[in-house]
Amino acid sequence: MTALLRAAAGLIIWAIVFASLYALQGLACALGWDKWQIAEASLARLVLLAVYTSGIGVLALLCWRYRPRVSRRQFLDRLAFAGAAAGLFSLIYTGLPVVAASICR
Amino acid sequence: MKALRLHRAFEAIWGTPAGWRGSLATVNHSTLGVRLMVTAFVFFLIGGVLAMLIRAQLATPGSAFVGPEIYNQLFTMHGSIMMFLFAIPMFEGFAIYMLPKMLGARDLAFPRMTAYGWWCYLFGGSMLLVSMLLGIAPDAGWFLYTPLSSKPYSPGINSDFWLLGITFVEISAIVTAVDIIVSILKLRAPGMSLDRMPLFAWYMLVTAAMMLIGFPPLILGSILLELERAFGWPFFEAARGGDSLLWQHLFWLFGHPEVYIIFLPAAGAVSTIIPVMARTPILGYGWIVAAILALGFLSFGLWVHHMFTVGIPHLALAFFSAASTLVAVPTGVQIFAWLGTLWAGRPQMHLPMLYLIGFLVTFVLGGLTGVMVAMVPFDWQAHDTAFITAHLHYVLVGGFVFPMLAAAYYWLSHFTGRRYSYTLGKAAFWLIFIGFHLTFFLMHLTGLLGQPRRIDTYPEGVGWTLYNLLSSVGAFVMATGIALFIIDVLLQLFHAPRAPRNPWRAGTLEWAMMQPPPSYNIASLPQVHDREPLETAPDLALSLARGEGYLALPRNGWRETLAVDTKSGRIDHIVVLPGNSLLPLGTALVTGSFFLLVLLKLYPWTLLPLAGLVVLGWRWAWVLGDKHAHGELPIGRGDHAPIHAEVRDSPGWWGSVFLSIADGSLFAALIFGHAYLWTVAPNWPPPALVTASLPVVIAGLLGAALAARRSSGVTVTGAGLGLLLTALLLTAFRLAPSPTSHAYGAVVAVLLAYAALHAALALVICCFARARRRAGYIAAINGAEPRIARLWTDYAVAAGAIALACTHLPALLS
Ligand code: HEM
Ligand SMILES: [Cu+2]
Repeated sequence: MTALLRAAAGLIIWAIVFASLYALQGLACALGWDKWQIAEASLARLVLLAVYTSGIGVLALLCWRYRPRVSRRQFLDRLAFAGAAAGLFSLIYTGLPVVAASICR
Repeated sequence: MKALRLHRAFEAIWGTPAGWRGSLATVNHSTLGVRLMVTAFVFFLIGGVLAMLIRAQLATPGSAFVGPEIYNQLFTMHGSIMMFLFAIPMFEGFAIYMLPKMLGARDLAFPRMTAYGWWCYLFGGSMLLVSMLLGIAPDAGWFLYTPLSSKPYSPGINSDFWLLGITFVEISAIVTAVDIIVSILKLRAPGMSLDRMPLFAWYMLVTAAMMLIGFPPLILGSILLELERAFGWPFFEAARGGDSLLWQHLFWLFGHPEVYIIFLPAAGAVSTIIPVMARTPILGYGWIVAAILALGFLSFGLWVHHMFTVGIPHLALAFFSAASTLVAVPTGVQIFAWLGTLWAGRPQMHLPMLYLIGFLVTFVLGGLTGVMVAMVPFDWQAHDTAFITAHLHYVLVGGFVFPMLAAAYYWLSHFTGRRYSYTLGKAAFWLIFIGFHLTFFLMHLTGLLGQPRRIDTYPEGVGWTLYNLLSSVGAFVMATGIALFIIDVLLQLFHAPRAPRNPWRAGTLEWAMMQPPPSYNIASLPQVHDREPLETAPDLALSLARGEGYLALPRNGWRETLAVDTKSGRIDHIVVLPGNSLLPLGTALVTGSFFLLVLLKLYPWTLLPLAGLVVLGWRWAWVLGDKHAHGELPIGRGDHAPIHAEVRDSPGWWGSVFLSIADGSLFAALIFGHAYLWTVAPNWPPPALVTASLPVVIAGLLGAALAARRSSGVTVTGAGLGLLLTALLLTAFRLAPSPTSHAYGAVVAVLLAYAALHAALALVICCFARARRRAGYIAAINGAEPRIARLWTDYAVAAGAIALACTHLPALLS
């Protein structure tokens, strides 16, 4: 069972970060964080960017841990790497809007 | 003749007695799978007739064929029947029939659950049919948006039929999903490691997991809406702090994964058939598995694309637009794997192949319009027009109906044992294919010309007339094709000559048995060495029938099959499955009477079926197992294994784990609803919070801590649960504001009720475990039962603690 969990790990992390981004977006607007300017960006954007980049970091680490190696030739090992890579790519792509899109309008 | 002797002996153990009693009591997966498919097909025909009525109405402008009231019922029932009563049960039935055979097992992990699922589906579906016959069918669209579906705008009983009937059917979907997952993970032939599983099993594994996560939000939404309609708890009513968008979220949290839940099993059939047609192994097995895993997850990140027009911030639009385009990637991976397989092999134009080409063409077109509507600006134009109706039918008919027709022709001889004679099927295909594209291609155009969906009539002279007429003609051409398909299948059932075994020379295990299959599937279980056992051992069927595999000796009249280690496929234990029983039917009847009483608003009486369910549930688990240990038993080929009652991770344990995951999904959706209303809904904060009380919280948490302790005996655990329950009930009845005053009070009431229900349930389960131990059942002493009781206790403890925190903390902090 753990082998299956490892195969899904990257995608589970994607799901958690993606859901957090969406939830934080709602929360940030409810609390008015978009109006607090820090340097060039609003607090809302900074929080979202922090979550986005740390999510990418975690997934990149995961990809590195599950990287293909000679000792890991088994199907489920490769699946775990594929899952992590898919999670990483998915997060980079689906989270990209936090960089520029308007947050509360 | 050893094979014949074995056949008689196994048939005596696994068979269904003749007569109506036998038919009511059967738990055999082949019988039930076929029943599900036949029932689902009947619903397909009913949904199809409704579609014809819709098209008849829309054929000409200003039509007076049916009025708006009836028309609303027509499209609502068409959509609901096709989604809930045709597509899902159809692939469930197919999986129930096929999975054990492909995996080299004799039945599914929970045969009585399989039967219970079918009865629930039948009764729930019948409820909806009755509403239609009485002319009071649901009429608020298949996604039943509030406030249209709430009491002020839908005062009749129509929407209640939908909420209760569909929830009833969803129960069946949840238990079937658990059944399927545990069977795939545990009940396989020895040696079938995960990477040797047939692709169809991977598809069904992901599908069933998605059902466990995806259906509970809809069940929750339906419960909330029914509570609002029945008792005025304002979850979705803006004036009292509710939000109708919450319904949309809960619905589409289910609804978008739903379309992938429908597509994946069909894609699984495609991935099974294409390599056989192309006479070459599938290309990129690993890529496909990775793609369906990714699809399973990504499809939960798209639901808001159904809500692009409700007025949400750009950022959220962009998230979901991005995710919606992203799912095209894993879908594309599969399509390229299929095309590559066809390219690498020598495809033969058999009838299933023809339908698969119909699938590829149609589905790819549907995918393209899907990417179009994933673009927010385009969706703003196309939303709620016939363009969407066209898109969804390209995906659903292309992605489900065509593959299932291919599957029907591919596996027909498995069901009937008869050879296919190539006659009407081809004509049927062309009629369906041409009819379909005529109908729905034109609906793209009428949509772009501005024709809204769900209109019962339209004026002349807006330029939609000719398209609509041709659309309707197309629909009738398609219907003729379906009729031809039915005639074709019936002809084959009654007239065709007997088929040779494994007519397509396929490699998967479902062909290693008689056709039609006997009740026990295989007289002995094979040892699997690769993905296509029949490729390397074409005579496997005979050798299995002669009893040369595992479990070839009937013993104690037991229904035996093997459970393996999930990853490696090493033999783990023997599963002794329960035999035929009237319990599933009885339980489904009692469940049905609960829904019926709610529908008739006889609320006090619902206590009767609820008590009945506790009694039946108790009995359900009590009748299993033995009072003396068997130890390691011989399983043939010199191997030994214990029976499931004497191991800690029996199928029952895994079933509980996955059921608790579905339960957790419902709870998570509830917490989400709470948080959503709090942050987004208008008219918050509520006039009054829960009156916080530290003593109650402390008492409840103390109870939780007591119940959670591993070392305490049943008495202490029970006392802890009792204390927790008391704290929850005190909060609900003494400290919380009225559920009708504001959505806050309503959500709090549901949270507390949920936690209290689970505490009470855990109490019952603990009592059960203790009674079983006292009575001397081995499974309660050495087996999984204590572990299962622990699981539900821990769950109740967690739910109770969270519910107490959610209700008291805000007031304590403020
Ligand atoms: C047999 C051929 C079919 C035809 C001719 C057909 C026709 C139609 C038409 C014309 C509508 C639009 C009604 C309106 O907007 O006023 C519709 C709606 C719908 N159809 Fe079909 N359909 C067919 C098969 C299917 C299948 C196989 C499925 C699903 C598996 C399906 C699912 C739906 C859904 C979900 C709706 C939306 C209902 C709503 O708006 O509430 N249909 N269909
Ligand atoms: Cu969708």
